[in-house]
Amino acid sequence: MLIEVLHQRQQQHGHLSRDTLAAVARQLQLPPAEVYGVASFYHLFRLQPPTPHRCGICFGTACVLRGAAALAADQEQRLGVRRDDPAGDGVWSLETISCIGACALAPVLLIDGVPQRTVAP
Amino acid sequence: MTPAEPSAVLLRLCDASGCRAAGATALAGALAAGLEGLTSGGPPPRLKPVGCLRLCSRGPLLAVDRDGISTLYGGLSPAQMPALLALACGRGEPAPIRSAALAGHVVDHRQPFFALQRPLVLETCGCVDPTDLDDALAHGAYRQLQRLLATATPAQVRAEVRRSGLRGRGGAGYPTGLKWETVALQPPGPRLVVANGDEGDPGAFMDRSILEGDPHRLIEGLAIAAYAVGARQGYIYVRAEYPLAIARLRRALDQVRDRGLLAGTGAGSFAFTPELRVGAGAYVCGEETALLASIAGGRGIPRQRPPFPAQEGLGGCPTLINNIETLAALPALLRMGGDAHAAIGPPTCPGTKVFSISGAVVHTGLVEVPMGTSLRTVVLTMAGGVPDGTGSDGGIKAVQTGGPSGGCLPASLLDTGIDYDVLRVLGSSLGSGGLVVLDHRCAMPELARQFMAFCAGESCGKCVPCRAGTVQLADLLDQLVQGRASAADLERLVQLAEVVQRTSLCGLGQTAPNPLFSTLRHFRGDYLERLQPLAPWQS
Amino acid sequence: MAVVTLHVDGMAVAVPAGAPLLQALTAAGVTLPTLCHHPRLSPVAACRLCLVELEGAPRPVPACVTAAAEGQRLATDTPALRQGRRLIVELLFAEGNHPCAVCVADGDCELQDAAQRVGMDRVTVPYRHPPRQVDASHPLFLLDHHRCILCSRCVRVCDEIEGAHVWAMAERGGRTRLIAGLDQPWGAVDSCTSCGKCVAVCPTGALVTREDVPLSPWPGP
Repeated sequence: MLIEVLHQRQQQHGHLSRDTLAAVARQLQLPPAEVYGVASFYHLFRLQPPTPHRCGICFGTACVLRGAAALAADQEQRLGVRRDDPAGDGVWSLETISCIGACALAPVLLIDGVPQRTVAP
Repeated sequence: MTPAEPSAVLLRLCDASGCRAAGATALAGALAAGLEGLTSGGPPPRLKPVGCLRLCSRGPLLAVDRDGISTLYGGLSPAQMPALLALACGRGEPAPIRSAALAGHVVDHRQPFFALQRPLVLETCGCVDPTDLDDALAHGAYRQLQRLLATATPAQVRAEVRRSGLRGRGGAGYPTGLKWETVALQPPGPRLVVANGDEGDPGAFMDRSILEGDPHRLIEGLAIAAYAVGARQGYIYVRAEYPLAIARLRRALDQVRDRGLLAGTGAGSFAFTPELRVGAGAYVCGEETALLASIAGGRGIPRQRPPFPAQEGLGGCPTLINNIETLAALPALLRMGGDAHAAIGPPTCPGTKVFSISGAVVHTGLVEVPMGTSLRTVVLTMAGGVPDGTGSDGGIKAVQTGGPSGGCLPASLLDTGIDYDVLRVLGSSLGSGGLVVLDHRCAMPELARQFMAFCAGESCGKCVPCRAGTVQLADLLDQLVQGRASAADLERLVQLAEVVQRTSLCGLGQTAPNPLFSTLRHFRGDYLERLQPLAPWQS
Repeated sequence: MAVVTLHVDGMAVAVPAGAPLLQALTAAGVTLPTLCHHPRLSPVAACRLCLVELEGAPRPVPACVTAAAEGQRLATDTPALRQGRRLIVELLFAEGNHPCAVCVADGDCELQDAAQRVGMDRVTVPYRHPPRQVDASHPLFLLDHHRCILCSRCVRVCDEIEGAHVWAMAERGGRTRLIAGLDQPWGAVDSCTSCGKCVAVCPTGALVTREDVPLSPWPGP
């Protein structure tokens, strides 16, 4: 149940704060350390508040072959943020993500979780 | 593709995530608006969202069925919808439906990409509305389950699957019937079944397409498996990166629960309740024991096998874990019978296999072909090879199979028939079915580095060789790519990789060096040219 | 109790059926370095130092979790096993920060013992020098992450024996680290009973008794 509850809480609050995790531990009667251990294990659980907008770049094989790294570097420049820094510039953050299986559109760039049609930079 | 009911025009719009990303949603809006404004007589055209129409690189795809003839359009924009509707619904010459405005958008469905496909697992994908249970039922969903519940004992179902020769499509190629038998023959007590939809290999989107295209097919397959091994409870684990697949599956599960489709009397009373479990972003959860740990709500940490999950799985119960594609193959397999299935493809590895083709090819997308089909047929004849590629190998340098646990096959091996055993002998692996085509611009050390970095990032961190070894290997490969490695470093790299392969606890670490080894085996030159030249005193 | 006979490096030994192979090794007088294994805790087969070659098995198996069965033939000291053990210990030394000369556990450290046992005269993989922390928030004990090899003995002893569930592993891969509570300072975790079992089972100097705080006698209830 823990993972389902963490998904729900993240959907409600946008991220999993320490208070949220503590509440989940109480609710499910689990050791807090275990809850934190699980939440921090999975990539998609955010332990820090997300920026209002997020740019994701798929680093699957097809995307890498079609210039995902260059695209990421280009976006780093354009947005002025560092890759995989969840704090970003306060508005935008740039994350590399695992293959979403939209390989036909490689390199795939997602804005706020929605895949976009892109061309290599 | 099944034709629509006569005279009514059916517009099948690919509503899978690939085409959605290419603009299918806007197209659906424009079509709906256009249909509303339509005043001509006759039966009104019907817009039907369907699963993957295969040729993802031409998305968004729209198939127009009229008078038994199907025309496929690719890359249409919303602005073209009025012209398309006028054509599709207008009187006169029905087919092929062409006009100047749409000329460049007609996709020839007689081309090898479509003509050489043999859809079994995907036979309903692209035909049924994945959100509509009645439509799925009209296409035969749950018919095999109901037939088996009424007429066959679990042992008979297992025997049929054993006879079919089906092997697990998740990558290992373990005989499905044997796995079922192992679970069924455990001491009495509850059993569980799990559908493994943690499709994490980069470049693989078969399972996603199955789930998005016809979720009921998977549910039926899982229920059949549950019946065959004596399970009453099961889980479908889907990676969180597939929101559309999850939404459709969730809806489909609600639908079958409401209708009570997963129960029956007859050879044995049966009631099956599958639950959905959503991952949270961890590649290692594709490993069986990590998958079970994740379903139980914990960190996705594998444990040493044996005991295998078939002996001791969730809550200590014998647990059958099958890949999505394996389970989705069951309805068609049981309809045609085990012997007929065994006759498709090579005898040691029968059936069809779904491949997702991406990388440097003209046609990117999803194909289902008989096992044993040559790589050349799939990536060159069907997918068209490298754009503007020349020569007998179509500009292909290599084909990457099996993702981070697989390897690269050079163009000289293109005539290899694809199956689990052959690819393993060649130092690669079929994996779950992602084929990434590489052209001559692709440097193998870079690719090996990419995969090693992937494995280092996805290692669960439990066992030392995988946790610390993959990190070191990724760094060594980084140095090599940057021309900062010597011949001695390369030797060290191989030694360390061998230790990681031999001593890691689970499949992730054990196979992490595969891309390195296979590229070293077939493209050693790519590595040697990156090595630092020897200093004069070293020669 | 059923007894099975098996061969360890050619020597026949008898152990209870289903006992871990480690017991058979002991019976044969073979001791392998083990870092995650602890006789009182559930086995996890994580350190991979007790791998042995089992005739007929496709790859080496960990002796700590593999069950003894009749007629098994084990090899514990092949060149491949030796190479693997040595590299694994090297990986551990390179992964954390282990300057033995200035470590409180010097001379009483299972990692150090393992290094000697496997003949590690130098580390051939690059040291990673990770930036890590020391947690000195607990009044009696100290957690020095530099020396932690992530064996999880502390996690297991706290879960399985003390029942206080203070520890867990957080994150994953090369970023895996030991945490107390919700990634809090150890001293701030209420459930810690200060029993010291984690310190007792720690194979290295990661969990130690503070030397700057004199142990005062138990003040009584």
